[in-house]
Amino acid sequence: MTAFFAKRLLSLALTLFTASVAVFLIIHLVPGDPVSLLMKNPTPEKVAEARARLMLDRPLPVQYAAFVRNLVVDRSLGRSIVTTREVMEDLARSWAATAELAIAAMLFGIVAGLALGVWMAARRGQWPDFAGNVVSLLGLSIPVFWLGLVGMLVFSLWLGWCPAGDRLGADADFEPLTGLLLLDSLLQWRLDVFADALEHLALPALTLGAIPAAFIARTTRAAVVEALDQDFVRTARAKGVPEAGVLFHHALRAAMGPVATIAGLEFAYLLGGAVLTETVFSWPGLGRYVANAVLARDYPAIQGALLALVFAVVLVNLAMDVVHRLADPRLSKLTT
Amino acid sequence: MSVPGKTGVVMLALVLAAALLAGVIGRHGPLEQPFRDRMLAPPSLAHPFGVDGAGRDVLTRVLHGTRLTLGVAGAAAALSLVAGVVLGAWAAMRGGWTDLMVSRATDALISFPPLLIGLFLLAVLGPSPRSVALAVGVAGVPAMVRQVRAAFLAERAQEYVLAAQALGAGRWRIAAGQILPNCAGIILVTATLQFGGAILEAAGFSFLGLSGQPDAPEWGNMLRQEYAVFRTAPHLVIVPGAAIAWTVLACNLAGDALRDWFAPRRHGGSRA
Repeated sequence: MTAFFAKRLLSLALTLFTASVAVFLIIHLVPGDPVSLLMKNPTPEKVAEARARLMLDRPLPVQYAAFVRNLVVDRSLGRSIVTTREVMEDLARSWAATAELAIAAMLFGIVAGLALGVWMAARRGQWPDFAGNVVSLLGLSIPVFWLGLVGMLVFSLWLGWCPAGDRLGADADFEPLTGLLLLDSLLQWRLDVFADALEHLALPALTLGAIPAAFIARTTRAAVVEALDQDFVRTARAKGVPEAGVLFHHALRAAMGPVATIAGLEFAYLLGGAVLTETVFSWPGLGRYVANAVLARDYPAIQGALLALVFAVVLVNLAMDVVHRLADPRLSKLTT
Repeated sequence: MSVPGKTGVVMLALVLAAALLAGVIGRHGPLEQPFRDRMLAPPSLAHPFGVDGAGRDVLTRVLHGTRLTLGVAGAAAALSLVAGVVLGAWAAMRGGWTDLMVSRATDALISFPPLLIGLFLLAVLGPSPRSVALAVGVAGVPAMVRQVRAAFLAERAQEYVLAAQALGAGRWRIAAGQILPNCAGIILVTATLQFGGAILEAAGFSFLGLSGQPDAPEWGNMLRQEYAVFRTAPHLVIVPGAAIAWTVLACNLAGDALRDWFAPRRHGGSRA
């Protein structure tokens, strides 16, 4: 187990290093003078300041070291050209929105995917299997931003069940602590805010969670169907274990390995889908921030947001690996 | 071929027909605005998908957009295919350090969402349809490398490879002449599924405004242009999105059917 973690941390450090070099290089890869990419209306003083801060007259490795030192020591990624705030401030403002959305979407994806997959496997070859196949194929084929728009059209505009965009109503009087609104409102025991935040979260989370739900459902079905054909399931049935017990206790547990692998990958991929979902729902998170930054060629913001997202993906992957490891004792017997 | 597979092929054929016949079925050129007297008109007999905010027949726009959408996604999928086959075959045939480096890089890249890799490339390249194709194509390379490498490694151990070696064939001649044809099935499956994925990703980037040309009838771009008015004219958003979903669904159905055809035991279990 120790060796596993050591190796895992090493590859994590390597990934972060490579990604930070790539992000650092963006301003050098784009044609044009790096300084002019980093500010609007460059004045001689501002240009000189940026040149000194980034050490643009020094070799690239030295510049990279300066970039990392600015980030780690001064906690600075430069100022956003569009918002004119420190990029770090913008990121601090938006990370929680993305975290809340992604976690809610993933919870929905796992629950809905597992339920649909088990149901399909239990009724193999019958109509639930067929219907589930159609639904999950649609989930893989429909563009997530379109799903969001159509959902907004139906549930917000036509039925009026939930608001269309943002995280809280405009008149909400609430001072968040962490930025995770569901958590904050519970901590301050503001149930009205909790309900408001939940209403705003529901549609974006269901939209974003549709993709992992579809993948998890298909994987679960395949894995459970395979497990149901195994000898240990026949033994369990012969012993008189009721069918529900066979399905959930024996077959589903044996199927958890591939499902956990897919779920981990999907959680990381969710952060890509968040870019689109957040744009549709005006959700003030990292995804919308980075999309706007790329569109506005706001390079300090691009660099900061990409780094933050890379960091999030790496953390999610690590967390999923650890969970996977703890959940499946067979893995830790293998050599790392 | 199974019923879903046939459905997928027919659906795909209809899309290709639309791309070829856009100029014939369409009512006007892609950028003309002949129906300014009925802007935002809902679907009717004269305009089955309605009219957009600039006085253009939406059906005509979608038909013209087929070429752009398939063109960008096709270029991206071709890039993933070629680069993926070359790198995957190279890693599998060379083995050793080459293989280690290629497969480690592949593993690392696969753990990132393709959309994020694409955004990074678009930040460098700047918005344009060509950048989108390049970004989507590059983001798809690792997945193709992984499939090709695994397929090549499995085939390399077969006896016909040994026989070819005994006859004195060189490593790359065996790779291109013997192994590649035997891996063509699984490569075709992956390419079909990646083509569908490329349509989704390219449409996503266009929706974000990163394909650069605001007026182009590319489907994701149409969604972006029209979603400001989608409360009053929902057909403008529903139609291009449905076109995307239709085409991607066709690719997924066809890809799944091809997989069952070429490698029936690949679902869940390992290949013999």
